[in-house]
Amino acid sequence: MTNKQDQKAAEVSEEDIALRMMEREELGLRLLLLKYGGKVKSFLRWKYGGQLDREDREDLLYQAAFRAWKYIDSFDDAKGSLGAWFVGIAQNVTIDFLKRERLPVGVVDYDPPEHVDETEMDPERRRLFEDLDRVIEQLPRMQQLVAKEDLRSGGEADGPALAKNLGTSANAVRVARSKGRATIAENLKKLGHNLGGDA
Amino acid sequence: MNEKHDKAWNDLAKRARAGERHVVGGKDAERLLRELPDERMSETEVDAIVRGVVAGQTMREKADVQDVNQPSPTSTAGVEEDVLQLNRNKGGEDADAESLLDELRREALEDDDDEEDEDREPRD
Repeated sequence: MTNKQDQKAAEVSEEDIALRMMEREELGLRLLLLKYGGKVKSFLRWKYGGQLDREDREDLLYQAAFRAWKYIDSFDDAKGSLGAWFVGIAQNVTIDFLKRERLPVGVVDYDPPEHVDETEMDPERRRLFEDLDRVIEQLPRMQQLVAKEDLRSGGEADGPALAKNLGTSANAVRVARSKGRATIAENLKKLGHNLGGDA
Repeated sequence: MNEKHDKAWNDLAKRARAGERHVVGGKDAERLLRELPDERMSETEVDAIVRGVVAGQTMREKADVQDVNQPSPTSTAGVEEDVLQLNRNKGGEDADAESLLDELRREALEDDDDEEDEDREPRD
């Protein structure tokens, strides 16, 4: 994006953006994305970690932009800023997405935390998941897909369901899972991340 | 599966899930907007979203995802009928293909003759 456009987005008020969107001006949506799109992507990576890959985040940002454009009339600046409203929309579409896309969970106990461990929400979390994205992207295709589906499912997707989804055998999933996990663990360790298996 | 790698994986999955139950709103969202880095969007990215959203498309347009189990398709769109069979490995000769080749060679030679005939100046 050009510096001029970035500068304009930084200078323009939220009220101006919201009014332009209400008037169905494309520029309003463009300014919303320039001002907050990058922040929303960063938020999704930080909050959902490896449960979303790059493509998921791009899809979800799109869907959030779609809803923001459609429901801009419901925005009320007395309740919060336009940026916070947009983050909230992105969060909602992500919750729906995870509910819809998750495969049944496999042998590993799925125990979603009842509360947030604040120590997990520190800046290190962001670095870990940035590195995880890169490490997964370097894996062979099948290993990538298995790792992503496992993370999305909360740890380990049901083998047969995953095999059916990927159009392969349960054994191929098992092998890809084993090899992928080994590479991920070793490479994250090399990048300085201390995971449970290192203890 | 290696137990050490499994432990590392389970730790990773647990960390990935940590944010799931934390619904961000109000002051948290405002704080995050200030503190989180801006993953800059490219002009192409913004254009694509604006174009799609304004046109009313509910989902982002993207290239078809390739089936992991299928080899990359080889396009034969530019290959004329029968030509694929002409290049055979040694020992893989085929009588039909040889016959077809001979026919094609003959036709090719005849075409040349015809063209030469057409180009030739009429004799007095």
